[in-house]
Amino acid sequence: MNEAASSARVPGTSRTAEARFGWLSGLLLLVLIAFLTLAPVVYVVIESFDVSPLGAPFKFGLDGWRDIVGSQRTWNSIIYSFILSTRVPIAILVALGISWLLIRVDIPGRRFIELSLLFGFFLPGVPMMMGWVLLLDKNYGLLNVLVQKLPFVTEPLFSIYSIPGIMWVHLSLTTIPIMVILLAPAFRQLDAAYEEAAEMSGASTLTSLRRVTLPLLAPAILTAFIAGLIRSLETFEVEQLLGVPANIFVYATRIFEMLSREPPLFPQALALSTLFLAILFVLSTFYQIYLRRAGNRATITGKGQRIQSRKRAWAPLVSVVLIVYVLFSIFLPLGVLISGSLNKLFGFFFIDDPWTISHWREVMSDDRFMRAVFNSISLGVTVGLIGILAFALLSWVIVRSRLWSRDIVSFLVWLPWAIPGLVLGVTLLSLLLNVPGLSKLYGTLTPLILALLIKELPIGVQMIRTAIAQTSHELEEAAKMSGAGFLQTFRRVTLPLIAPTLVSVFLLVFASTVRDISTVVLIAAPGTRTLSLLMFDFASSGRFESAAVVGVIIAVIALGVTAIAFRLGHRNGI
Amino acid sequence: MTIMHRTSKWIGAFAGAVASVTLAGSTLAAGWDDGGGEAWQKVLEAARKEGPVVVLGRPDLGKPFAEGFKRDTGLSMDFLGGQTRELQSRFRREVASGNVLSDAILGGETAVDMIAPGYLMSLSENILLPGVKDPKNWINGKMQWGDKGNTYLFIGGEYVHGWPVLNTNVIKPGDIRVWEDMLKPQYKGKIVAFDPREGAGGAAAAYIIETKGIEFFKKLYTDQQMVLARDGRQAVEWLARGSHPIALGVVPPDVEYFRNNGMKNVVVTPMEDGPGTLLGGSAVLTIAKKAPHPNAAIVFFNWYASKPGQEAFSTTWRTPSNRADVEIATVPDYVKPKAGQKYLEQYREDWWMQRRTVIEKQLEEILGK
Repeated sequence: MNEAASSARVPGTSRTAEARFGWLSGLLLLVLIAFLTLAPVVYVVIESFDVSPLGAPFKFGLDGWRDIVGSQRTWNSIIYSFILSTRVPIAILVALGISWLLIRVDIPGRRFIELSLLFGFFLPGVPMMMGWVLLLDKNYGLLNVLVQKLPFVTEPLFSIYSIPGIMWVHLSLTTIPIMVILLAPAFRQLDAAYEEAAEMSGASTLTSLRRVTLPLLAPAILTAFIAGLIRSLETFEVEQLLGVPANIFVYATRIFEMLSREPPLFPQALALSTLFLAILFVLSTFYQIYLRRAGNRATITGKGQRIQSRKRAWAPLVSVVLIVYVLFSIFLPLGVLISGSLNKLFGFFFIDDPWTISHWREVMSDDRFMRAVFNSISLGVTVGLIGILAFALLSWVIVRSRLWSRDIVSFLVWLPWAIPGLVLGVTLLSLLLNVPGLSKLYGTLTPLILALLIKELPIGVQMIRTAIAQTSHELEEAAKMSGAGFLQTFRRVTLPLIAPTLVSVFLLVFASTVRDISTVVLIAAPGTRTLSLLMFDFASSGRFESAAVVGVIIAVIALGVTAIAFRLGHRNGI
Repeated sequence: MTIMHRTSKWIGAFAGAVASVTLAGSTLAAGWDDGGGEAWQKVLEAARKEGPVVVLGRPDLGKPFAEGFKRDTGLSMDFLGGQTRELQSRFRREVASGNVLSDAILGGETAVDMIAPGYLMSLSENILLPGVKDPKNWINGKMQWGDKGNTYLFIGGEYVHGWPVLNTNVIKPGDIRVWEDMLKPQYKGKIVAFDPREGAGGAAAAYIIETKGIEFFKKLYTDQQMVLARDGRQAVEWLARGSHPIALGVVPPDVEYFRNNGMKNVVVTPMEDGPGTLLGGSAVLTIAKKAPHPNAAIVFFNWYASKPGQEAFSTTWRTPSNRADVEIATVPDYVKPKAGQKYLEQYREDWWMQRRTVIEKQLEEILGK
C-alpha cells in the first residue's frame, strides 16, 4: 500500500507519530504479530498434510483432507454449525435493544440488569448448562414437570437435547450477555446529541434509531457480529453434552471427536481447522473492506459528549420484563448450580437425605484448590491488564499510524480465531516443545499467559480499534499541539476517551481467562492449574457435584470482579 | 510474569516445607519395600535429589497416589489429572519432541505405538523390589503387560467390562439374561451407550462385535435406536433417572459412585452367554525413556506395582488388582475376573494392533465416519 493511499484512508493520521515509527518499527511489529498469530496457523496447515506415524519425519499426504471431504458427517456438522450460528443475529437484535434501553432510557434497576448480564457471562459454562439440563430435560426437567401440571398440557414442552435447546443455553448464558458487553460501550461513546437532533427534526424514536444510531454503530455491530459468528462456530462444550445424544455434531465437536480417538486423528482435525481458516479469511476480508469504505465515523469529538438517558412512561414495564429475563436466564440456573453443589448427587432431590456439605469439604480440603484460586485470579488480572495495554497500542497503530505494515497486522490479528481452543492448545504445545528457547518456558505460567493473550487478541483489538475509530483525531492533535508527546497523549487523551471499552475488554478477557479450559488444558503444568481446570478434573472423574462447588466459587470471584469494575467505572463516570 | 512464577514457586516451596516438617514427625511406612537392597537404596537416594515425579492420570487418582507415595517413599509427586485423550496428546508430543516434562502416564493401551520409536523406558529392567518380582504375588503367577515383549506397558489391574447396567426400578434383573434380550421391542429407544467411538464405550462395542458378530451389533446399536452419550456420568445419570433404563459401556467408578450415594437401583447385570471382556482402564503405566526424573520414576513404578500402590489404585478405581495379595472390599464382584474363565483381552498388543483397527473401521461404517 502506498503512503498516499494510506493517508487518504486515514484522515486522522498523526504526523508526529509518523515520524516516530519508521520502516523498522513496521517490520518489528509485523514480525512480532506474525510470530504470535501466523506461527500456529502455519503449523496447523502444514500438519494437516503430515501423515507420518508418531515420531517419524514429515510425510506429505492427503489422507486427512480426503477423509474430511469424503465424510458426510463432516458436511452435516458444518451445516449444523451454521444453523446454530443463527443465534448471533438474534442475540445482536436483543442486545441492541437491551443496550439502548440501559443507556438511553432511564429504566429502574438498570444497573442491576447490566451487572447481571456481565455476571452471567462470567459464569462457568458447563455447570450452568447442567442447571439448564435439570430444568429443561424432556423426561425429568423441573420446568417440564411444572408445565405438565397445567390442565391443558399433556406432553413435555421443552427438550434441551435439540437445536432450540442448544440455542437457548448459548443465548441465555453467553451470546446475549457478550453482545451487551460488546455493544453497550459503543452506545456509551455515541453522543446523544445526534439522536436528539434527529428527533428535533421530526424523526420518531424508531426512525432515529434506524437512520442515525444504527449507521453510527455499524462498525461496532459488525465487529460484534463477526466475533460472535466465529466464536459460535468454535464452541463445543454445550454441543458435546447436548448435541451428541441428539446426533447433532458441529464443526468443533467433530474436531474434538477426531482428537479423542486412540491414537488421535491429527491430520483430519487439522485439515478441518484449515477449512475453517478459509471461512475466517472471507469474513475478515469482508470486514476490512467494509471498514475502509465506511471511513471515519468519529462520534466523540472535541465538542464534548452527552449521554444523558431519558425518562419514558413505559420504562417501569420494560424494567420488569428485563429483570424477569435476567432472573430466569441467569439466576435460575445459578440457583440450580448452587443447590447441585449441596446435593449428594447433582439434581437428585428425590432420594433419601439428598443434601450434604461433603462436596464443599472435599474441594476446600483439596491441596490443589488454593493454588488454583491464586493461579486463576493472577492469570485473569495479568492477562487482562497486559491485554488492554497491548491491544490498545496495537489498535492505535492500526487505526492512527501510517506504518507500512499496519494493514497486514490488521489482518493477522484475526488469525487466532481461526483455530478452535483445543487445536490452539495442541499447536502451542508443539511449538513450545519444538522451538528452541521456548521450551524453557514450558511448565511455567508464561505459556498460559501468552496463549490466552493470543486467544483474546482478535476480540480485544477489534473492540478497541472500533472505539478509537469512534474518537475524533482532533482531540489527540490538540494534545500534541499543546506539547504532549506520544505516550502522554496516548495515556492522557486516547485511553481515557476509550475507557468504557477498555473496562469491557478487561472484563471480557478476565472472564475468558478464568473460564478457559480448552486452550490451556494441554499446556498447564501441575503447579499452574486454574480453577476451571480443577472443575474440569472433577467433571472428568464424574464428580459433577464437586465441579459445581468450583463453579459456584468461580461465580463468587466473577461477582466480586464485576462489582469492582462497575464501582471503578461508576466513580470515573464510565 | 516472572513475579507470578516466583510466587507460584514460593507457594510450592512453602507447601514442601510444611510437608517436610510433617514428615519429619512421622516415619516412612515400613515393610513394603523389604529386600530392595543396595540398588533400591541407590535409586531412592538419587530420586530424592531429582524433585517430584510428574505423573499423568485420571484426576481422582491424584490425591491417594500423592499421599500414598509420600507416606511410603518420602518422595513428592506432581500429579496432573485430566481426560485420557488430553493427557495422551500431551505425553505423545513431549516424548516425540524429546523435551519431556512428564515422567509417567497412567492410561490405556494407546501408548503401544510409542514403543517402536523408542520413546518408552524399559520397566521390566527396573523391577527392583522382591515383592514386585515374586511370581507368587501375582494372579496366574506373572505380571501382566500390554506389549508383546513384556517390557514397557505394565498393567496393574484388569477388570471385567461390557455388561449392561439396569435401572431395576424400571427393568427387573431377570428380564435381561442374554444379549438377544436387549433386542426386545420394548427396549427400543430405552438404551443409552457411552459412544463406541471413545474409550470404554469402544471397548464394550468391540466386545459385542467380537462375540456376537457385526450384524447383532447393528441391530442393537442402530435398530434399537440407542442414544449415545459422550460422557460416562451423563449415561449413568439417565439410567438412574429412568429415562434410559439400560446403559452400555459405562465404567465401574461412575456406577459405584451412584450406588454409594443411594441409587441402589443402578445394577450391573452379567450376561449368561458370555464372560465379558478384560480391560486395563487407567491401570496401564508407561514411563518416558527421557523422563526428567528417571530415578523418581523408577521408584514410582516399583511403588505402583507393590502392594500399597495397587491398594491405592484399586480402592480409588474400584477395580481389581492383578496382584494376588490385594483384596479391596469395596471392589464389586462384577468386575472381578473369574479363575479359569477365558476372556477377550483387549489390552494386548496383538489384539490392539490387528483386531481393533478392523473394528474401528466397522464402527465408522455403521455409525458414520
